[in-house]
Amino acid sequence: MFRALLLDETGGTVTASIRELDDSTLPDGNVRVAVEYTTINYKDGLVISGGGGLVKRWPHVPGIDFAGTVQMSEHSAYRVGDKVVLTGWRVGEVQWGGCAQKASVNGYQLVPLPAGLSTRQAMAVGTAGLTAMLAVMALEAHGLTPAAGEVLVTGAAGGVGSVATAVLAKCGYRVVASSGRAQTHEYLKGLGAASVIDRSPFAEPAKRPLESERWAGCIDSVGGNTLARVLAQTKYGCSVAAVGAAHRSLDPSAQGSAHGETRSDDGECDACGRAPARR
Amino acid sequence: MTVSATLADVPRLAAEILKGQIRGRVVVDVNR
Repeated sequence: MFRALLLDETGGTVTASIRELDDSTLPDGNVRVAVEYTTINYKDGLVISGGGGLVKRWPHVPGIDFAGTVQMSEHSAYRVGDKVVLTGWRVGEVQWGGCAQKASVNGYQLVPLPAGLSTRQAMAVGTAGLTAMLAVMALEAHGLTPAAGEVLVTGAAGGVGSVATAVLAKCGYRVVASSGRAQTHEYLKGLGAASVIDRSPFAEPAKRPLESERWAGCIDSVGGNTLARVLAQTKYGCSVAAVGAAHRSLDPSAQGSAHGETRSDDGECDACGRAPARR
Repeated sequence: MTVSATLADVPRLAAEILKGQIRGRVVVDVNR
């Protein structure tokens, strides 16, 4: 038996309850993990609220990532007792996820817990931290250096934004954090943001396709008008890492109309779960 | 940057994250 947060759907309404489940209810998989920690992400919010139509089969266990200990393995890479981490693969969306004391997955979906990290520390990084780091690496792969100028982080107080702000600041970048919550400003400065700006101007539709160039780079987890405005303000030849679509109303006319490029780095859209377009 | 939660907290926190009310990272201890 194991405890799980079980979602069920009736007439379009999703309900969540903590249930004791028999091991026989676990989905097929060649590795069973005793989960210790999972995290909460924007996609989990969509899944648990029933938004986005992400879940096709009910009942369902959410949780897009987890860390724990292998309990049973029929996969050559893992033995009982191994500490493992899972992020991505649409786990928690198209297959049961980490909001449970046990998970049944396939070995190729797992990675060994890095040496020196606890399972809790691995989940403190989690999918959001991985996404943020991939975004930083993508910007640097496209030429970003601290000397290039200010780097904007939108949705900065969220999971991806917080890690992105901290990593960029630690790497020597001058980070401008965008947030809609005044009470987060001190928090963001504590993470290393050089300044914090209100997100409201970014949410307004652009009046022209190109605006005054300001940003040497950006990690955007908002999308929509925000992404369009950021692209219009990005310096010539610089890049934007677009890693989420919380706004979910991206104006197609805005794409390709900017100084920079759009890069998607988390493997899939937080809102729709589809793999993003890449250039 | 990181706060702790339990499985019972998840439905409430899931609603809050959609409203942009969650700051930083939330780590859920599934055994609590």
